[in-house]
Amino acid sequence: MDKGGVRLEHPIIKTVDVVHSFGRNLTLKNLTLNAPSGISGFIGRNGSGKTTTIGVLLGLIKPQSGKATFFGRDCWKDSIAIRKRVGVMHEINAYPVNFKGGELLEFVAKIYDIPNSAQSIRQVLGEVGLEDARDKPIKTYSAGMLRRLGLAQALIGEPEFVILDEPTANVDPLGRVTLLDNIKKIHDSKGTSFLISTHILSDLEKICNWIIIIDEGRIVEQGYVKDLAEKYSANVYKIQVSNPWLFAGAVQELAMVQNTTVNNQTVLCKVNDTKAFYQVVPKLVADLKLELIGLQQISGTLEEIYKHAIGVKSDDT
Amino acid sequence: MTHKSILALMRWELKEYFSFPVFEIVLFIAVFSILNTSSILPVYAERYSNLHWGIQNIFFYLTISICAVFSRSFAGAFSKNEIKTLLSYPIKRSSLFFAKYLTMFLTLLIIYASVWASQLYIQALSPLEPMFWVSLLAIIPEILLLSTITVAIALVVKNEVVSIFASVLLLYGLANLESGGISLLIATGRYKALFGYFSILTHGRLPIGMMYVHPPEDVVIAFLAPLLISIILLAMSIAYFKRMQID
Repeated sequence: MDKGGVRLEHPIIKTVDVVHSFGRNLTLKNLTLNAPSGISGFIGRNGSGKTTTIGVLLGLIKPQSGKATFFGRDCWKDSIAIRKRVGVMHEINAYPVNFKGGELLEFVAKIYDIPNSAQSIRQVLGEVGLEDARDKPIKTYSAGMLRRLGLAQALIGEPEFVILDEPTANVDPLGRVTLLDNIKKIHDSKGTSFLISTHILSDLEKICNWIIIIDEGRIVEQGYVKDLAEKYSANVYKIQVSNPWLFAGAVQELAMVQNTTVNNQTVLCKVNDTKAFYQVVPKLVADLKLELIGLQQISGTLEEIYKHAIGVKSDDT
Repeated sequence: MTHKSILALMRWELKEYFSFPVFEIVLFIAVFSILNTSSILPVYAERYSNLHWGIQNIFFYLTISICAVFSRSFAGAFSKNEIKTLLSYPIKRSSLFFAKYLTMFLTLLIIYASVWASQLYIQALSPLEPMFWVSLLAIIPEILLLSTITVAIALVVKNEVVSIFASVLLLYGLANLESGGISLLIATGRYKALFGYFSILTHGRLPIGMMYVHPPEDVVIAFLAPLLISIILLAMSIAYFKRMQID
């Protein structure tokens, strides 16, 4: 069982107690993470260790201790074999500015030894909406076009896994939506798995099925979004009754209730004993001679999960 | 890695580091360094001696070009994340190193050899003049030595500007250790040792203006020492590059 309470039989990415430091600065502290197939979100503040972790996974950084595997292979020793199956877009990519977009993709196709590269290039350019920019020099590309070109070069040859580091950085809101839509479509149509590193939570909310939260070089939470949403929202209930104001006043008196708000004819209760609360509500409604219309736990947003995870970690330390 | 991949990497290097105006500047410096050399011997039989006049001048500009070009390609590539981008593809570190090094080395060699060939015309020498070929051959180990020293520095400092300054200061510092121009510690001294020795072999006398003849063992050292040092430095640089943390 991992920390998120989810059993992963065959994680594609697995690290156990990975430690790494730059000089005296300890960047990864016993990092233990798993990522299954699908779209995984890798969340953390700037400087929390996301990019260093990606470096370890790609065999660019050798951990001082611990073990990191990708497709079951050692990330440092078998990095070439791993990178043949992985497409990568870094936060800061350095493409030759004098290349045209198409030339860059031809270069990548040669490196990956992709057969029928012309067709692959046409296909990925179509997927990211850069068909018209193929023959333009990269130096004339906008920030959004550069990110799409980054995605195209990561997708060429249909890799099994794609790592995207801050894919929406410097991209305008419409470009972000398009980019994320593309990722989802590619995953749905080809089954490509993604690891998306970002500090923008809203980017991941709609497309991820697995979440990894990192803070100060440690994994503070990981698991399926659905499970984590339940875990971190288990103490918030939405109650709909015939007279919400009367119910709110009464329920606030219960010891297990931390706070109560009434919003749009609905009572929201944050409680510290969910089991007891679930049993007591029908009784209280009956005592007040009200009608119980609905009683439901609220699913947590990614922001709530993230805040809770970071908060849990802070309390621990 | 196939040879196609290596060629693709070399093309990347050429496009990135020798595109306008860098190639033109390097070429201009090379032409300037040759034209700036004086021709003082008009007598045909002695004109080959002009090939060693002003050689210090040529090494001065060659050093600047090598320090700048190799520092950009290696240290500059770290600064702008190019190494990280390229090594995220299935490219072996040793292949990337060789592709970078060979591209820079061959380009500079071709530029300087081509420009040096213009000496045949400028000095009105026969293409069969053996001292022309000796002088050309004597420049190759110097380019090798200067470039391997610069690459080693570039890999350690990983900053283009610092690398250029450090390598220029180190190499000119070495050149200033000895001012007479005959010590084997400096490029000019090694070149003159080879030039003088082969001048006696081919023309039966020292070139005009050269007063000192090096013993044969000096000639061997002048040719082999830069080669050996370069090979050792290259091996160390590759070993270091293969173990580097690419952050």
